[in-house]
Amino acid sequence: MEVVIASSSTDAGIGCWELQTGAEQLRYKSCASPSHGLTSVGNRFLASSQITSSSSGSILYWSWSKPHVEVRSFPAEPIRPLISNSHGTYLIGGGVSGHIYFWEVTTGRLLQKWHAHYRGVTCLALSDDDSLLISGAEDGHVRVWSLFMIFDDVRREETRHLYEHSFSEHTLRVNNVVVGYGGCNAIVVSASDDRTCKVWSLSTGKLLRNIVFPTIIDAIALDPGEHVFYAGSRDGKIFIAALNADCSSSSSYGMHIIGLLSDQSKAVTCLAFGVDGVTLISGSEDGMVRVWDTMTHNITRIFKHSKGPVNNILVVKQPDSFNLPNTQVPSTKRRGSLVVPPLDKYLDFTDETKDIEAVIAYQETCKRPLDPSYVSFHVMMNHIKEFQKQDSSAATEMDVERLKLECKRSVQMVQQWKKLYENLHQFCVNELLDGVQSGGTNVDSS
Amino acid sequence: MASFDHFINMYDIKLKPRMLRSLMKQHIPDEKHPLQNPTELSTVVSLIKTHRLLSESFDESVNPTHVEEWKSAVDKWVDRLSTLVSSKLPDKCWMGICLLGVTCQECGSDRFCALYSNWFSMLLTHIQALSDSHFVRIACFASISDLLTRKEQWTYCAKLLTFSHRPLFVIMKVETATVSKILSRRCGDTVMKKCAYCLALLTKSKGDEHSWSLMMQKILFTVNGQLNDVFQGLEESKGSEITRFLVPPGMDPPPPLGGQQILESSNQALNMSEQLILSTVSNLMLCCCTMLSTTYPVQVTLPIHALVALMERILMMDGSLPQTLLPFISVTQQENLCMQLPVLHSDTLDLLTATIKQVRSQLLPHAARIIRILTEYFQRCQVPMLRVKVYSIIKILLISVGVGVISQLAHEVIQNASIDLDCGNLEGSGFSCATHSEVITKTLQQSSNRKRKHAGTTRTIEEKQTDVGAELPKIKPPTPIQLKIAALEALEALLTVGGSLGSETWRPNVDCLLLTVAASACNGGWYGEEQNTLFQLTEPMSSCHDLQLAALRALLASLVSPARVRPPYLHQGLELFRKGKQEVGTKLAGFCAHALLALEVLIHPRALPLIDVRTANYVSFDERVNSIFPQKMFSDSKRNNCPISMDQLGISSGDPHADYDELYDSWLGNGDANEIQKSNHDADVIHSLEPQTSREPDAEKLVSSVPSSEAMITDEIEKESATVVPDRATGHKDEIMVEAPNIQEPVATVVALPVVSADSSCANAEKVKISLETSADANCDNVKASSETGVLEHTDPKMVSEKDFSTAKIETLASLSKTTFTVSDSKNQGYVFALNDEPSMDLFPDIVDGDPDSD
Repeated sequence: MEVVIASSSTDAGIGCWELQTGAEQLRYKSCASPSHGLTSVGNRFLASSQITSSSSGSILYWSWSKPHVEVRSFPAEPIRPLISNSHGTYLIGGGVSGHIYFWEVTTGRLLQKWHAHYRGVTCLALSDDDSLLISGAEDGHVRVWSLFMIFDDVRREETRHLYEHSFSEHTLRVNNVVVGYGGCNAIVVSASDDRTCKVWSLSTGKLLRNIVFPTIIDAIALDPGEHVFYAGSRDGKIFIAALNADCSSSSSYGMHIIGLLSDQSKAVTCLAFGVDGVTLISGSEDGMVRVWDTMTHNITRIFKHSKGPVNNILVVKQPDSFNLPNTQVPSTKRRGSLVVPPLDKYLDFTDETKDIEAVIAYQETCKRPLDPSYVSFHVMMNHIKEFQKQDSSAATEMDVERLKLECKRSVQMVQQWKKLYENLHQFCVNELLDGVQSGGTNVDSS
Repeated sequence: MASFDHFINMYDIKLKPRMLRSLMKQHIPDEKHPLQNPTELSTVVSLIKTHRLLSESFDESVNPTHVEEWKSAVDKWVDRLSTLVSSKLPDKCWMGICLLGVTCQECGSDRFCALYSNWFSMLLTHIQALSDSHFVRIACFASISDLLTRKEQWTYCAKLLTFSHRPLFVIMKVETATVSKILSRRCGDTVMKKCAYCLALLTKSKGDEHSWSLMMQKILFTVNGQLNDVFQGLEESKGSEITRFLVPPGMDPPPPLGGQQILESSNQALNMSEQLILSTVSNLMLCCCTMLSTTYPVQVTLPIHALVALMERILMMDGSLPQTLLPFISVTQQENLCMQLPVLHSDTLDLLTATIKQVRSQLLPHAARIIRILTEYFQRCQVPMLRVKVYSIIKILLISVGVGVISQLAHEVIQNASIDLDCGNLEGSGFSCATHSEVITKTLQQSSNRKRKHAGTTRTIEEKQTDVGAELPKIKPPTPIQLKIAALEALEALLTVGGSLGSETWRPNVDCLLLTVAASACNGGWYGEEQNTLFQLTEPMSSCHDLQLAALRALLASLVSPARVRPPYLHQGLELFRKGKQEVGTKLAGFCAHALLALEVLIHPRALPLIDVRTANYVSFDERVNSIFPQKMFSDSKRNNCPISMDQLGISSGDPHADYDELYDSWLGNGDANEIQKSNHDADVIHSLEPQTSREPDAEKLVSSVPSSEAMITDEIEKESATVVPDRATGHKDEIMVEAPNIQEPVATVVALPVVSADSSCANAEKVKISLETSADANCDNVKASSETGVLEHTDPKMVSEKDFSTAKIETLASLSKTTFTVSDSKNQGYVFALNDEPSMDLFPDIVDGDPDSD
């Protein structure tokens, strides 16, 4: 079931609508997330960062089936952007001080923490192979980190800087970063307060294109074919900017901008693509979530989230079993209540048990043991084959065993016969003797 | 009555009990009759399986009397089996056990649930009795594993977790029995393997997290303990460290594997030879593998730190005496150990593979350590089969961990692969291999030298590397095909994952190496697949066919994987694939066809519009181009083998620059047009130099020198543009950028022309023009005339602009943008013109406007 999930910076909860039918699902309570602070952890549960004051914040978990918060963790500083890798094994959060925190979900351990930016981290993105992390910050930098490098203690000390690339062309705060398709060959698009969007190449680390917009862009969504990208602006318009597209027809909005989606709304704060690659979902400051058809440029649906601004939108495929709470009681019990520990606050260097264990997660393949492999039949066939071969030692061994037993039995039989014979013999002898004796007596008597 | 009560059809339920009874009567002996012929058993089993005689599944509508009858028949069957299993005669017993295994698999859930524990104890007695015949034991393990498999499945379906806890004590007993089998080493190899498998399945059938982790801990603990004995005197004690990882300080060590008595008995047997201990270790590791690779209904924790440490301990043991310790082991002991070590390493590598596969993304914190172990092991390892395994692990790692590993692994993989691929022996493959291999060895040496300068800290590793490099050519054993295939696959993975990131240093070498290998593998003609059948008796051996396939796969990866320059060996590659495609009906031909398809995009880059009203026109145009060009290219390359043919090929095919370059350049519409040409420029310099003198020093110098200046220029320009950008006064520059990215269309080949001509003589430019004309000729009629002239006239302004650029390196921003304006403008019109199919005349004067710049 494909659902649209939206959260707001005011405490309006997390709204959840089915994309196909438009039916509203469960509303998860007590969430006031910062921008980019909502993520789905491996499609298993929702996580969101919260900023309560300038010096404290929290990270909350909701399971799909329950509206209230299940797990609360309190990191060392307020976390703004929060993302998870596609398996849902790690949570990565960007702090307001410019640190990036790297937690393991199943154990809650803080595996790594590093100083990434001079000022607060505003947005994070992972490349599609989950190996490169891209972060944007208030200082206008966009940096690319190799996660492998982050965990390589030896090489970390050798190199001057941890990052792979540092893009510093933005002059003001970076609002959003998205990564395209193709691992290390992908492109990165970043939006900034300096009214530009910039396209970077991950492999070469160079600026590929600079696009100037009439207003500040807060949200970007890449078309799945990377033909164009959609940029949601502060004046409520969604601009369509060309990547691969033919933009020979000059537009009045500016270079590379080839179109516009507009609904007279307030500022567009977040954008997301549906699974079909055609549906675009936008969240706006007026509390509405709009669903667009990018082919026709029409709005197909509007969800009302709240009066306050929507600032996060996710499109998630919810697990099916969550829909059938009645039929699978044990399953939902296991699934429903989260068994995930809260996240650690500090990096624990003193503890010897750090990263000593890995959790092999419950795997989807266990779900339906379709064709279990039975072996005894094949073993039997092999044995039969051996039997047919004349010179098989194992078969002979068994024959010998059998013959031994038979021999034993025959010996027993022989013994028995002997005994019988002896008995009979004795009997006959006795009879005879008795007969003679009795005969004798008879004779005597007669 | 019964004799006239006919069945409806072959699926009638009445038939089943009757069949079962007659089967029993005819084929299954009871205690009185001896077993006639074991081969009959297969008939019985296949009948049972096809007719599902034991399933007891029926519709609701079935007459209850028939159900009863069936039930009683199955009851009888089960009784008969239990008499057979408990029979003294080994053949009957064997038969009973086999049939019990099949019954476990086939019978209905209710019956299985009811009889499960009975069967379990019956089989258990046989496992515990050590006197049974070999067959009986194997059959017993097979049956018990089926029983556990079934139980696990059934447990899942019924969701009755309580059930699985009930026979816990029974399972403990089995554990004891199985472990005693493993530790006592009285059985043959196959039985041992089955034992290990059973042990692994045991935890699965228990189905909770704790027992799994405990079992894993126990096994690792035991292995570590055994290794302490074996490695004594050969290493400084690493065992205690691993024990500390396994059992955190302050915690109790796990109960010994298989209970107390087993431990004692194995302690008694300490004086047995190392060989036996090592085979036990191997079996226990196999058990770990199985535990890791089978799926579990719950999530479990793996003591990965200890596991990795243990694997490191084993892999780092090469039988050498440490300098620091006094040798207090005998030569015989060392000999024994060295004899067994390869097997142990092989098992460890298997375990490593299983771990990497299972831990998946959680591997990340440990990946660096594993890679360090692997690279060190790789330098020492000389056994081909072990190297094959290392390659395959590297392949898995590359794909699972992703781009980050590349920088760490690339050098290692390439160096080892080029040794294993034996470039010295590749002479005379028709593609001037001698020079290739020379180049490779030279560049490799260079790169290793370079590396030594860079990383002076890892001195010992470097020393070993040079050792390996120096020794191997002298020995020169023929590399087994399997090893070559593994090396090729690792290179393929390397290119697939990170062809472009930080690859400038190694990419040309790898491309060259792969072409050489592919060419030499395919040089002696094509091996048929049927060679495999000769060896059918043994394992499916990898033949030359597989090697060719692997070489071509790697070559395709090298051609397709993005790089900074377009693939230099495209022509040779295409040639190979075309030849291979003609081997009709082989796997290789199939792959070659696929490769040609994949490369086609490289030659005709596509930037198809998302929605296009002119769809029909556009497609037909594209098709026509495609249908004409391949033939032409083929004939071209056939006819003249002179070096220039590749240039012609590149240009006439409409793609002097692979999609990467063009895309990259087209991005930079923003006042950086000079950079486009610059980068094209050095691409073509390399390209034109390549065929005559494959990578001469000055060509290298060019490559190395150009990017720096280029980067400088780029920086400057970008700085400038960054300052200009924020304000609105970017008027005319904006217009340029709108038009830039159209270069990807086939007709947009013009970009390349000025580059070649600016670099070399004018005569060259003439030739290029001619070739373009011919290509235009090949186009359909209505486009022909106009495109010919149009394209030709486009070339000129850019030639000039390029010259401008090369003479005055950096001009003012204003003049730069002016030249780029004319360039992109005319380019764009050419494109629109070609695409639209109907000549739009109003665009023509613009092009001619640009013309006065020429000559």
